[in-house]
Amino acid sequence: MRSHLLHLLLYSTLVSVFFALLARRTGRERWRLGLLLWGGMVLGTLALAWLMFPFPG
Amino acid sequence: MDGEPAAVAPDIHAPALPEAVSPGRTAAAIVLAWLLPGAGHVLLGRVGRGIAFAALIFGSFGLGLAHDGRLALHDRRQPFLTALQVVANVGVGPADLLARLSVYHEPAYVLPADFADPRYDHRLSILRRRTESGLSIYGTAYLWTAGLMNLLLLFDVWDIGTGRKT
Repeated sequence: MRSHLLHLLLYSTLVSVFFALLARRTGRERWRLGLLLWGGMVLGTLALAWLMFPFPG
Repeated sequence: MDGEPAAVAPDIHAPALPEAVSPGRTAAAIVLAWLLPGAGHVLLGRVGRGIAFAALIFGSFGLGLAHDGRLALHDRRQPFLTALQVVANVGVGPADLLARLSVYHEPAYVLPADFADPRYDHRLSILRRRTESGLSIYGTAYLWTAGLMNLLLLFDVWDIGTGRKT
């Protein structure tokens, strides 16, 4: 798999599901934490990518 | 009757405290958790969680190998960082050893300090060839994440075994 975006989504899913299962007990709490973590990682990464855009590669 | 303390009714609304298991069983669960990710939880009766964690960790490990992830070698020129990398790899258990046997054709964990050692060129060339791939950085992230997640699970098993968590 060569897509950077797919790797971002896949890795974020892996880590979010792991921590949601580890740190929360009920289904509702797990979904909440998992989505929060997933959104933070994906959106945070995209935001950082855009912030770095002006800099030479 | 006089002199006897009044009986206290149990609070039926209080959450049930998790039960601790014997220290020996907890220790066995921690060792098993390292040997086979998820198995420690299964030994302590958390079968669903154990299977889920096993799927996540082996999934990440498999993705790491498939994307030419770095099986780190300890290098005396960068001892601290490379030691951390090796710990991150080894966290996943004996699966890391099997991967090293497959990739390096030997149980390689250290880059020899002597440049004249034939193992130095052998291991370094394999490591470099593997990390030439543009996907290697993702593979490395998946591999180290698998190891570090499993190390976290050892603590989770410890908490469950000592009754701090359900």
